[in-house]
Amino acid sequence: MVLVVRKPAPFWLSLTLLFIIFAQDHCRPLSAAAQAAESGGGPEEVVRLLQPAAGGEVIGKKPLIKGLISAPFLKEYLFVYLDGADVTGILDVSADGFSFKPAQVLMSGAHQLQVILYTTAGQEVQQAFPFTVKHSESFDDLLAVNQLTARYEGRLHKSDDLTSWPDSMLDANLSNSSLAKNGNWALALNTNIRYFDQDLPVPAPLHKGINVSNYLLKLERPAGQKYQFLAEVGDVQINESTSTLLNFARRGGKASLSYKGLTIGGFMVKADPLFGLRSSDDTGLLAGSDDDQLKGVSGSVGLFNGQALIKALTFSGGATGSGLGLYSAGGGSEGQVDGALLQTNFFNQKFVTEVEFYDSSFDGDVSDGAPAQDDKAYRLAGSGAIGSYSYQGAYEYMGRYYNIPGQAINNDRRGFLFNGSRAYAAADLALALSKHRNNVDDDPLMATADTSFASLNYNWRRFPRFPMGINYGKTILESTYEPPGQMATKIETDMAAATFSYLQGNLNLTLQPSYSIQNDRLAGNDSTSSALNLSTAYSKNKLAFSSALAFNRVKLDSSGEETDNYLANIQFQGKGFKELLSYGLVGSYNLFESSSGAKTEIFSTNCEVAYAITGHEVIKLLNPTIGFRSQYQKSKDHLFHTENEDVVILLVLTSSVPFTI
Amino acid sequence: MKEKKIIILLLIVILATGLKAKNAAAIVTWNPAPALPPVTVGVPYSHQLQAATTNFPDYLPITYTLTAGGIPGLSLSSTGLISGTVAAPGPATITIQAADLDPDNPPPVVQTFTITYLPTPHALVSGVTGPLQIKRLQLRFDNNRPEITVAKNQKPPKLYADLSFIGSGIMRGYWAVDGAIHSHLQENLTSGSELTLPLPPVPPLPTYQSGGHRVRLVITEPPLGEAPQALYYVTEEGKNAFTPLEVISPADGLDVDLAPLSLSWQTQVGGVAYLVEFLEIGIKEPIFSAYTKKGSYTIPAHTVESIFGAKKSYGWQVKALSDKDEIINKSKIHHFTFR
Repeated sequence: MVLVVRKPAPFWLSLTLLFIIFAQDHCRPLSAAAQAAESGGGPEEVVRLLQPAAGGEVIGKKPLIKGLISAPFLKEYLFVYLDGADVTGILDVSADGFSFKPAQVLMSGAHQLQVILYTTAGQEVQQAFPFTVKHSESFDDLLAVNQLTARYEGRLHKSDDLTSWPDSMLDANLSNSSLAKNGNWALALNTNIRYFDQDLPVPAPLHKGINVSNYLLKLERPAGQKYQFLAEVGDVQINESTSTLLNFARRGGKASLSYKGLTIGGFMVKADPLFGLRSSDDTGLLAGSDDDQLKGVSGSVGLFNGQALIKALTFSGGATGSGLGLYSAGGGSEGQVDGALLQTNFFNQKFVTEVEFYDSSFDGDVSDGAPAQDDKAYRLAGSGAIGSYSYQGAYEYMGRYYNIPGQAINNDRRGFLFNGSRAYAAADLALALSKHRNNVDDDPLMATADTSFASLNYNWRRFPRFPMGINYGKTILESTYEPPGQMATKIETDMAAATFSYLQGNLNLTLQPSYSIQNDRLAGNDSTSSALNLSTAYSKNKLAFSSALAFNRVKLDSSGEETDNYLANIQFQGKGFKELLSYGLVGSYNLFESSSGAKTEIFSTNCEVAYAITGHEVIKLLNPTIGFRSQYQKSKDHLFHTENEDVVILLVLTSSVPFTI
Repeated sequence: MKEKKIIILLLIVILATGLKAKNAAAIVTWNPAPALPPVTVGVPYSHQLQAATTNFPDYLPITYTLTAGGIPGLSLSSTGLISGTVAAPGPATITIQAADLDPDNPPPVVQTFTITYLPTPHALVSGVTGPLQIKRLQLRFDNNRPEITVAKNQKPPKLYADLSFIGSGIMRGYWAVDGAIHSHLQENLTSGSELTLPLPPVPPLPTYQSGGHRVRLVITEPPLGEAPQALYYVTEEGKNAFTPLEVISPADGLDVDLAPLSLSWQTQVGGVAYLVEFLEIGIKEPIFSAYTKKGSYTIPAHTVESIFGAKKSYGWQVKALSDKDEIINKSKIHHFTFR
């Protein structure tokens, strides 16, 4: 037998180490049996792999593996490793051998089984057996992991005036994660398909009936090959550059092709976030109007063994500024960005540089008939980590009219920023400094505005049970060169916050006071904010508990108004009765008081108890539960002397069917 | 016994709330105390009215109607946005009615506002030095999308709000989960910044209840026309545990001899096998792993010699596997050091 380190895998290091030890063993005198075994068989071979055949190929995801041991051996000194992982604990051991099925699916490709044992004669035997796995005749890997889950809610009791609450609701979800791999190509799909229905209209963005909530189809020829290819369709993420589109998750498609450090790519996505797939337009892939679609291409080349990267990119399109999870002031916008960047890393992350330059043409309101405006942006940055120190410094310029379609960037500024931090054995210290000025030098109607910022953050862990941290930040905004008739501006904002924690086993207590004042030095327009939060989290023995007590106060000098919010939250969830019963409760109490006399209280709870039904095999397959849910809310307005109380009690039936193909 | 008490208590809560509830009227309120910012002659004006209903669920929209005192140049949308440009000072008061979509309950609330008119400024105010305006607010979960699917009783998703703004002033509002206030937020903001606000981790987003859930970020100051919402869906997966697998021994952080080391943990209901993974600082993938059907594992002597080293610290974690290939629970990462 030959000891071969298999293809790169999670346990590569352990395999390498095992290989070294085994290789060392080759240098030591071995017993005759062991020598025979090591030499690859022969009449004195002690262990023989019956299933799959040594060096052979087996079709299956979790194939039965069976070995025959021809010499009497000590069961307690039999050790079997599959790809470096100890599988001894899942073996069925008999007098003449062992067998097992892997606890997890084996990926396609080369695998190796290693056997170490001592015979009753005291001889040590070490043998290794390579074999290959394929998931099917046609594909190396072919796997689909699915989960079908359904929930029905039916009214048992409801307040008469609660006409907006449905009497019945059915909600189901099929999640799928599939992979098909052959040779160097892999095709993967991840999706959630949802069904929803109730006896009342459904609030947007949900719809009645079947809907594809999300999906991502990926075709990949991975790294390590002569050329790499990636194409994705569905909910993709666009990562072009730090200053343009980064972690930009939208519906559409993207593709890239790499060859010897040269990469070209392109994308086409909806500019606004989408939920569901109701029409072909929701795919984001239909070339058409630029109103709500972004399209771009980029090319990059890696130099000096990947220590430098040059990239050029261009993208254009428009956005409506509305979508799930998004608020945007103003209406539709459109524009184009062209740019290039250079990144270097010649000093092993100690000094990483990045230079970016962009030109944009942007129309912030397509409905007003005004033409798009051109402007530019550039950024020079250096960063790195040296021992326990890390730093980042940058000079950046963003023109007054520089903008990116589909984004709302912080434009109209130029200046420096510096961030530095040091990690000590029991502490962290971080410093941030920046100074920026707006770009209105050529506009006599605008005042120049300088914004300076500094913050210091210190975390102390000298006593692991009592970690604590403090943070202080100050921002100064000051105007100069005010045009006639415009008041000067000088606003100073100070912010201080601290965190004190107590950790004991599964208990976590945290106290967080914070205070901030915005001092308008030239007008009576100050605002003060103070908050105190005490949170508790605890989990043990199938019970998780958390609570939060919060006090928030805001004082506005302009109106003389002071408002207070007192909020108490509690949440616990757990399981009992051999984990057949699950329960959970969320409770919230909020008291709002204002110096103008307003006072409102809102109390709400939501709790659910469910029991898992067991029994026949069919029931086991469906994993059904039956339970009750109640939602309660009471509100009281002390100013208007009104109050309201609503309650809903529901019967809840659920089912969950996991299945793997 | 403790479990029984909790269940009985919950059932009492469910029943008691049902028996106690009375069908009083829901209410619409202005939040916070109603006021209109001054109207500057000749300068575009925009203000979002903010009223709320106690009639839950909380996504019932409020509709606004002008009942008296129209201002030439300004219009009121049904969603409460007052916008336009006035050419000259107009009436001193206007009256607006706010109502939710439930036709019977609660009754509409009528409010009279006093209007202050300011003269046209001699020069324009730069956005940087002006009052706080929120340009964009986007919610995203860990997957960078405003929508995510998680398993029941599993780690709750993290939620963030990316904020882009101009001008200076105080911003305040609250996070609401399924209609209940989760936490308040308030920040003194100064122009020239972007901000990412995380949803406070305590209490976590509930994952004990399967189905769809809705999280909204309601900004009350400066008022926004709409509250962006994010959706998370909890799948019903009965075998998943929500508290970590409990390690019995060795105690976390223990120094042990460089010899076969026994590890043990509490077994998991539904767990047919356990995967024990050993980690070394600075190495992402496990340096060694083992499968077992029992609630314990002993690192063999030859493995201790070949994989591990003296005077080094290691982390280890055990994962419970179901018969359907799922990882249904895992322990926290514990540490030990070989002397």
